[in-house]
Amino acid sequence: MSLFDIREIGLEVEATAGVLDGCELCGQCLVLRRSFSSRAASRCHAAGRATPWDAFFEHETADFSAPAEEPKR
Amino acid sequence: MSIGEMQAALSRLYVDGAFLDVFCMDSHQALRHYFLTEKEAKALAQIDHEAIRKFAQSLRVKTWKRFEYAYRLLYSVNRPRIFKYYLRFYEIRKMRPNESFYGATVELGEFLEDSILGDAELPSYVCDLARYERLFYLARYQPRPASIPEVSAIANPERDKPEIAEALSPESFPVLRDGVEVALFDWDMSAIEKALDEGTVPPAGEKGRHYVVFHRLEKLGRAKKFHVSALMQELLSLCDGNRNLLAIAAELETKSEKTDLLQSVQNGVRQLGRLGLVEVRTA
Repeated sequence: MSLFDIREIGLEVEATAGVLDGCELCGQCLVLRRSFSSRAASRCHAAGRATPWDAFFEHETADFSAPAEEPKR
Repeated sequence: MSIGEMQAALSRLYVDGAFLDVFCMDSHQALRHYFLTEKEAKALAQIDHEAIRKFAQSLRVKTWKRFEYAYRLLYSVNRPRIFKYYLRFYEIRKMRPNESFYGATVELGEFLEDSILGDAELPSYVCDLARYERLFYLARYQPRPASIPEVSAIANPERDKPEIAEALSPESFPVLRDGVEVALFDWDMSAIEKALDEGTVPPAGEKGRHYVVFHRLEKLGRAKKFHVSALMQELLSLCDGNRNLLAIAAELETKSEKTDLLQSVQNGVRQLGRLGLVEVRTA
């Protein structure tokens, strides 16, 4: 590390790679790699939503009949 | 009719676990403070307890999903433990219809920072990690001003021509751009984030002074963060628009007991300008 060192942290740079045309590069789909797939980005692009995140929540909140598991000890 | 009271009772059943437990044991006792007709009370008492529990659980988990991405690193450290703290928050911080999650997400971060302090089952760095993620969330989602007044920037890679950066001189007065915040951490957040992203255990390391710059970008939801050396942090702190590069170099030479820092300072400020963190005014 030099005296006046500065290094970017995280995924913001990588967030521009491999996204679909029309995506506004909010980067949420990359940040949330855990459960995201190209399907989320496709939905986002296809639905014309502002961000993949909006599409994700539209999908996630649609069905209350099958609750997700809470973490177990 | 007391539809409002019925809805109030139902809403509480969905979000208040202790109330739901009492209701399942003795619905009459649980509902005694609600103004319900006999028919309404009977209808509520006949609700399928298991269905309510499932719905309440679904609501808790789905609400957490709204927060999870803001605190994804913290969550990856110890999921059950962090979720337990989230449930404490969930019990006392009710979400309101149509409320933005922005305020609640920030509040959750502050709550976590306070709550996990001293938890022996969590690593020492978790308080710093909660603050780190909260500050990054703030940088991304803090409401933007309608218009940002322009000062002649030395460089903004998204907007300006690179040659403007070359105009920097020892008489230039650098100043931090709007939306740039520097925070001090006890632990190396850059190394911790990298390790957690790779699914490995962060290096033990030792407590120290680690600086992170959060840069709020113009577009809502976008921000960057940088790990900076101690001297770069000092340089940033001196970019207040009142000191030119000569004065800054002189101060840094005194503080660091190093000599001939002017060229390094000039290069450092130029780099900060290229990253869009600093702009410059001429005398």
